[in-house]
Amino acid sequence: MQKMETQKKSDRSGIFQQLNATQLSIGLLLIVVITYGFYTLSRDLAQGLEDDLRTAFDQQNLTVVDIASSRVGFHIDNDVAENVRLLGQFPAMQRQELGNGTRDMEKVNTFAAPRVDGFVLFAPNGDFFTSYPESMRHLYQGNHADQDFFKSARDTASLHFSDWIHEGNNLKMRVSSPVYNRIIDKNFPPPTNELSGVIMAQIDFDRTIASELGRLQANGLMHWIVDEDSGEVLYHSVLPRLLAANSVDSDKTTLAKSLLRAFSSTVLAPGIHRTTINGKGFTVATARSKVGPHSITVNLAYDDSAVSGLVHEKTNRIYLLGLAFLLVVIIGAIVTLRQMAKRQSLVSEKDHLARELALEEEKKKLSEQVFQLQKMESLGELAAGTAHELNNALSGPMGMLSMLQMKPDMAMEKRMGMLGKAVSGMEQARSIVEGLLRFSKSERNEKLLDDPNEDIRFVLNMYKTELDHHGIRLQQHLDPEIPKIYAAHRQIQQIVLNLVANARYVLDQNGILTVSSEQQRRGGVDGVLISVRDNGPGIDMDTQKRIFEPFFSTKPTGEGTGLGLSICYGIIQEHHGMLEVDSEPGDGAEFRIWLPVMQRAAA
Amino acid sequence: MSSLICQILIVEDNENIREILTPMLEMWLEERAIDAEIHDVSNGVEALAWVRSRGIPDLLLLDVRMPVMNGAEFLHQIAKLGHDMRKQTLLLTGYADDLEEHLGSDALLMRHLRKPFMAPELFAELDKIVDKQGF
Repeated sequence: MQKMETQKKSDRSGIFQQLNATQLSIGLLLIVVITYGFYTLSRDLAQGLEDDLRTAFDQQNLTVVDIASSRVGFHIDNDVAENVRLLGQFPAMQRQELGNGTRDMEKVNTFAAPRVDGFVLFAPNGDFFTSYPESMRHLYQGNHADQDFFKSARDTASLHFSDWIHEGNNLKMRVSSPVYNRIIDKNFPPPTNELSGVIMAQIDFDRTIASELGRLQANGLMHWIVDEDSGEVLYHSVLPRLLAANSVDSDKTTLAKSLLRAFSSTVLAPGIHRTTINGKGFTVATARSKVGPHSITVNLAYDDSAVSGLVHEKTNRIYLLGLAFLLVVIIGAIVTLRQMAKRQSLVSEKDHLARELALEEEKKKLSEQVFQLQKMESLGELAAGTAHELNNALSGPMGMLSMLQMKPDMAMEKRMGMLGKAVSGMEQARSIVEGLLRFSKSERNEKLLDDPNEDIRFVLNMYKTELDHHGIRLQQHLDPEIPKIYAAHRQIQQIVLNLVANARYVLDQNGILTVSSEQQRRGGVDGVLISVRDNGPGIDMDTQKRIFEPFFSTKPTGEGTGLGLSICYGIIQEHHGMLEVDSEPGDGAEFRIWLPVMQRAAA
Repeated sequence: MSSLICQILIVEDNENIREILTPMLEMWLEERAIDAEIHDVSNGVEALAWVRSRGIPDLLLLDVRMPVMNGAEFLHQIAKLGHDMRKQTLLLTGYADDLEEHLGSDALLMRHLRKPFMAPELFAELDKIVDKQGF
């Protein structure tokens, strides 16, 4: 239990920390209730088992006693007495041949032994005639005409049972029967129908008991037989007959005496009797029977602790089983609690995930909006640049034509020069408009197969003035051999513009901006590398790591959204390309865009 | 100033504009019967060098947005040298917000012309400057 407590404590830090106090106390209460319930259940079960077992045990002993006692009676009443009756009919008596008669008796005795000491034949006048075995001869020498067993047998012409006969340490009984000369046999003289003698069997009661009840001892502590009429203890398996009340002292004889004294009478009613001796429980099973004319009770005493021990053994097994069961319950409870905790954490995780998802969705929406904003921003920048260019281009025609209007009669040569300037300005304006048309055509973000150099040139043309105004030198190294790429060229332009604008932001006057393009194979895929390099202050490692993060900006608050590069990164990713930065602080920075030629195949 | 020939300086980075401005100015000078020399440079630094060697011009046509040194910066440098040229300067701007962005509220007090412009507009602005300055 203590072990379990510590186990629980250590578990608590693991599983139970995710459960609140209510759940924890409910769990513990459940365990306590289950434990108590199981204890009560198993205790009742054990009690019931003990009762049942005791009843069964009693019943069994009662049956044993019953059978044993009736066997005693049956044996004496039937086996022995019947043999005596049979012997009485034997022609041996009529012929009065000793040898013959003895052989017949020997035959009979084999059935009756060993409960019978022997058979004795008396002549009608009471004289000893013959005996089997011969060793009994000396016991019954002489005339027995006065003896009760002889007189009664001769008079009643039926079986006569004698009283109990104490003979030293043995208890005897005699069964006697008259013998009449009634047998008809051609070998013998004709029957006279007269009394020819008396036959008597001497029964050794002790031996009979011993052979019939011997196994009773195995079932109990002791057994004893009581004469129901006199209350005399006829036989006791522990106490010697003559020493019943005194002398021999051992634990067994003491207990035997105590048991005899435990009840008010030695004669017990058939059934189960219980008593307590020195705090120990004992039970006596009693059955009754008849031996000839005598009623006897056979008693078997046994120790309650035998049953209790058995029950305890079984009960302990049940308790062990219960303990195992309880362990299973506790483990089940722990597993359940763990599952609950897991589910709880899963639920919260799910909520968290849902929130994250919502946030992600929001972010996506926002980034889409910002993307639009960025587009508008770069569109605005381009529009402003284009307007400036257009204004410059229109300055010529407007100036020249207005002059001609004022002075239409100027010299032809002068007039032609002016008109020439006007026309060339108009041509310039037309090429700018063409650029705008191209811009609007690619506005739809449609992916087309086109020359990326055109994208770079378009952006640089638009942005050249801006760079000039900031005194930044522009170097272009565009490889005319690079393949066309399948891309949303408007977006590529936006990225290049973004990178160029960033470079413009960090470059001082006389800074150098280098934009180049070349063919490059990466991972077995043909592609184009566009590089935008500046010789500005460079980017430190920490900034490089975060440079593509949304909302990361090194510009002062209010000057940049911090979204430009992250959007560029997103666009390049969407094109299955790569956007890299390479820089050393103080040594400028290079942004490289790599785009696959055919991303449709790669996608 | 009356004794000498008028000096007109154009500071403009766009070659096209410079080429247009010259015949326009010639026409205007012809109309006003003013003797003048027209000079042009392409940015503030060159203009500053011109001023250092040739002195303050009588009329200045100054582009606001230029590489290397813009119009505003040029005026600032001139002021540092102890000259105030604001009254004889016509600012030329391409962007609507150029003036305020580069010169602040001062710009509103100065004559300015937005590109592209027609000859009569240029002439009117030049006339206003000349009438006030009286050359």
